[in-house]
Amino acid sequence: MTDKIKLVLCDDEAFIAVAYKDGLQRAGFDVTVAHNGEEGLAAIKDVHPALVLLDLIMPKMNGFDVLKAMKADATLKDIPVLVLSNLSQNTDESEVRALGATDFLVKSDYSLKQIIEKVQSLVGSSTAPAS
Amino acid sequence: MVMNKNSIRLSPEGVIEFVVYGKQTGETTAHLKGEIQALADQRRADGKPVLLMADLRHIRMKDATSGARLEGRQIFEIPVDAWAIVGKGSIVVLAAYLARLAKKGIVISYFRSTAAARRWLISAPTHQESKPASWFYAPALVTGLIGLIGLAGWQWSNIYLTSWVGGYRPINPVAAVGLIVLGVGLAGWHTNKLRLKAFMAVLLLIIGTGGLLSQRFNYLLYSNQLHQNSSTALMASSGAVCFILAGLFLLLVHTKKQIYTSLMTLCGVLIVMIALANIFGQLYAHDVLQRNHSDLVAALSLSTGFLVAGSGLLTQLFTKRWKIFVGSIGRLGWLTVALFWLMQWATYASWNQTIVRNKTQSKNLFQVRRNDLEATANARIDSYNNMLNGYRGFFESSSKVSQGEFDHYSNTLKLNENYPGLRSVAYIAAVKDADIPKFVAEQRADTSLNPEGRPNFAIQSLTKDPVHYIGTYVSDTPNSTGLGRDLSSIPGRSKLYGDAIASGQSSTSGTVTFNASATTAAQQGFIITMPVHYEGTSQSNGLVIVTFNYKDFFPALLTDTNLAKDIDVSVADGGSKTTIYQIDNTKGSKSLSNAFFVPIANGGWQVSMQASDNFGINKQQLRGPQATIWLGEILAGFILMLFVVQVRARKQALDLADAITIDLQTERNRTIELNQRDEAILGGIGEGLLMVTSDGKIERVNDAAAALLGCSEAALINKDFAEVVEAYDDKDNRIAASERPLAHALQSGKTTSANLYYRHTDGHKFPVQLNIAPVKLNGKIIGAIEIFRDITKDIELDKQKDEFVSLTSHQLRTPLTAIRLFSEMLLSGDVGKLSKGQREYIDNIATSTKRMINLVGDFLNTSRIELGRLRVEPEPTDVTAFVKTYVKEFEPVAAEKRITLDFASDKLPQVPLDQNLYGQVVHNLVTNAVRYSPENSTITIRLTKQAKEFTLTVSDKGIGIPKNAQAKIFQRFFRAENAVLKEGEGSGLGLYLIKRIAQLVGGQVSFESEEGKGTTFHVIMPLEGMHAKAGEVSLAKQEPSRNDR
Repeated sequence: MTDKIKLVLCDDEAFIAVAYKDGLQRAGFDVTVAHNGEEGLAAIKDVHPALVLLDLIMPKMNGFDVLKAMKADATLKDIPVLVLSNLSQNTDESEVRALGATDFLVKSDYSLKQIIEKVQSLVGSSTAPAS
Repeated sequence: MVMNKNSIRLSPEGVIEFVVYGKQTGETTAHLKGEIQALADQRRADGKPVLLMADLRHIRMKDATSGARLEGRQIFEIPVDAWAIVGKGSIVVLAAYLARLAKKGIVISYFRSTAAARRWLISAPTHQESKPASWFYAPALVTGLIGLIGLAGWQWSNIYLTSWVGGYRPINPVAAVGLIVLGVGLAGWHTNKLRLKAFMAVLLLIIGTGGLLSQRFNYLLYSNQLHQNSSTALMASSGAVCFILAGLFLLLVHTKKQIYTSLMTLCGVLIVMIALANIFGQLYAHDVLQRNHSDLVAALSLSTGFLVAGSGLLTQLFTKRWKIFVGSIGRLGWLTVALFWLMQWATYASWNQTIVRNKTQSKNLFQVRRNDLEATANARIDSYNNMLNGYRGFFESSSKVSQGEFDHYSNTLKLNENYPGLRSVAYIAAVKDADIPKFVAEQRADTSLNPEGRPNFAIQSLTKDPVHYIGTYVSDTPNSTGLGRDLSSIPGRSKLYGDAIASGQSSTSGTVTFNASATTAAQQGFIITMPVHYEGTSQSNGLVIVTFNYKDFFPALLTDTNLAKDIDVSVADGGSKTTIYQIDNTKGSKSLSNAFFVPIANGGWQVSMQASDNFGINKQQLRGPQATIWLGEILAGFILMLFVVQVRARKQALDLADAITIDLQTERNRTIELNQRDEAILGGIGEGLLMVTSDGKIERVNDAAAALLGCSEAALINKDFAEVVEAYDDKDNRIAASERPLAHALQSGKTTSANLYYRHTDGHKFPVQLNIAPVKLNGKIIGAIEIFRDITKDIELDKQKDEFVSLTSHQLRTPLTAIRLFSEMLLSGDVGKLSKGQREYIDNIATSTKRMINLVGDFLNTSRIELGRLRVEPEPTDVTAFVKTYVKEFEPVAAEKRITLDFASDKLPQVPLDQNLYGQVVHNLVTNAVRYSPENSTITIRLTKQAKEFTLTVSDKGIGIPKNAQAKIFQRFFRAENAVLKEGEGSGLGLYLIKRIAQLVGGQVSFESEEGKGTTFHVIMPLEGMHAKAGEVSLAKQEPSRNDR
């Protein structure tokens, strides 16, 4: 059983998902990638990650709905969610925060290194404590 | 309900007759107007003439309100064929005014009775122009009649008819015919028989010119009687001139030009003036005029004819104006007219009285003088008689009177002193021829005077008469010639003395001539004789005679006694009637005369006296009549002035009323026009408009407002604005009345704008943007106008735009993010070590990508701020801490250029700020400072506190802003040249956004800069912070621009 910390990355943008996934895996995280909201929600239910990296604009089910669904699900509602979006209006930020997102970052304004630092700061380290 | 008794009917003759009773207001008059209009329309529709008769006899000026006048004027606007106004006084004048105002060329006439008005209307249904009232025929009639009377006088040789009354100048028969012609001409004018009028005018010209140029022309009629009569029956020149003027006048009638009217007026005025002068001349200056200007003065009858005709001509010419003039005289005016004539009469009367008094006084004084003169003359003669009687007694009391006794007696009488004008007193002895020697001897022996007697006494010029009258004694008077002379030698004396002795009574000689002596020339005079006899005898022994020179006697009687002062006296011998003495002491006319007889013994004198009119009148009295005239005329002048002033004042009042009427109407029309325009404007406005009074009541709304609020106008008018139009904020809380923008506007008097929600009557709330302008009158706020707009669609549109921009920037960012991430991954060497060249290139890609990302952010914010729907959400902020976080954020970026950020702050209170907006300001300022600062420099960031504001100052030692660029740095996309050279990065939007944000939240931005030395920016914000503003958009979050590796 691997002891890597599990993350679910939910982003429909393939290139960005690849970049984040590579970066995070290299940083030692176990990253499950989903390409739309439904897939993402299923993955979250399946994996029960330590952190969800959630994009907002996605096909099938958008990030807001995923958040709502997670918060509605007692088993999922405590999982921290880091919203990564290119929507930059602070109304969007306040909305996702109101829905229970842990943090909100504008993707274009942050380097991969900063994102990894952010993830690490939210989950502690890349290695999960021994169960 | 219109309450009035006014009545209107259509008479059987087809005249619309209305009677106006009592108080008239705009309402009653409008009502009347409506009825008239209806009847007139009906008549017109029937193809019949519209004749109107207004009976205004039952109302007075004060009964008509200004409203009634306004409406009344409009009655005259109704198309009518002819108007008849019945009434009197000022109300008719008012009607005339209104008519004049209403329409030019309105056919209108004025009457005193309805019958006359009806006749006029019916007889002349299609009036082309105003017809004169029937009384205008009077001048024509009177003029013709005067002419006829004059002519009749000649026909029946009646001096009273030709000269009007006896004693005045008779009219010339041709002139009488002229008056008849003039009368016919006037009538022709009145009846519009133009050809007749013209013919008469030519006749008048001929008569006038003939009378003026040819004497013979005057004899065309009744030449025999004229020859017998005095020459004053010729046509006077003034009369002839009047005929010419009248002819000219009639010729010019019906010409339109103003100049002709003026000429006609002149003719008329001249005729009247000449007539008046003639009448005055005939009545008052008859003598003078007759004597000096007999050919100029026209007969009284002719002048009267001209006065009537001239007045008629002028009256006819100025009928309308005359009526208006008469109308503007008023009661007081008539009083002054009466007073004027009364004054004239009084002046004449007192003038006449003074003249009569003076004349009477003259006459009386003259009579007194006559009596005085008569008495004095008689007394004088009596005294001579008495003197002679004395001598007679003196002789009678003596048997013999010696020369000494005679002289002594004479001396005691003091003859020269007591009997002025006396020549001498002498004793003439009557001696028979036979007794001469004895007589001479006796005389020579008379030693009574001289002891030697009278040795030289001898008889001279002894005649052959049987009785000789010898001058024996002569008084010691200036004339003592003739002593010893036989006076019978003087012709006539013998008879004189003989008769005297025979009669035994005194007698007078009549005029005699005294021979010249050594000292005196021959003189005329008279002698009074008195036969005397000695005591005891009845036989007369001689006579005592008194001789007088006229030359001495009369001056002594008249001049020395002052009795001839101011009079002419002429004395004629009673017998021969020849004038023996004359004295002229007066000049000019002598109307006073008198005569009396002075008996002297058996003869006497006829004394005639003459004196002027003003005899015995002193200068002051003489000036009396003149002074009376002057005084009277000056007073009359004042009265005339009073009249003029009164008429003018009344006319002005009427004009003023007129002007006010026009003004009121204009004003009313203007108000109506303005109201309609307002309505149009209000109706045309898409926005809702509400006019609210100062106490919050809705006064007026436009259709749009009613529609937007979903209710009728009536549901809003006069209602409390805050109550019927509910307002809500964006959190759906009802806004209290006192908190609404309208309350603020009414309180502050400032124009206010706000966004909020109004409730539609169906319950839904809609967002509105409103602007409120207070209405001020004389500095007092009397209400406000609110214009509001439903901005639901605007918001929708803004949202759509914003979503578009957001989505676009999202879509642009997504690939940029990918590029950024991959280039970073490549640079980090995760996928293999890069060569130096590869690294450099990928680094360039990363930098460009970041610039692109920043640019997208700036664009996004610019577009949002320009949408205008940017919301402002202030929250209490610790400004120092807030700015400090930004400073901290920028420190790594600054460190890359080894730039120190020096931050310090005054102690500031919590300030309500929209952190997003203020953060953008701080971010942009620090970004610029870092961007344009050289390496190893310091950027000073200060927060300072002022009384009501705080200032953020960001100061760098950078490239500075060139002078020529300083004015443009807040423009969108502007970048100074040196900035572009120094740093390719930068959108030119940073300072623009700062400026816009400052404007939006009530802050100010300023800077000072010197090229190459550095720049300092100040952003001043009020300490009370920003005010919340609803909006749909917020700015994009931005991170410090830096080069992460």
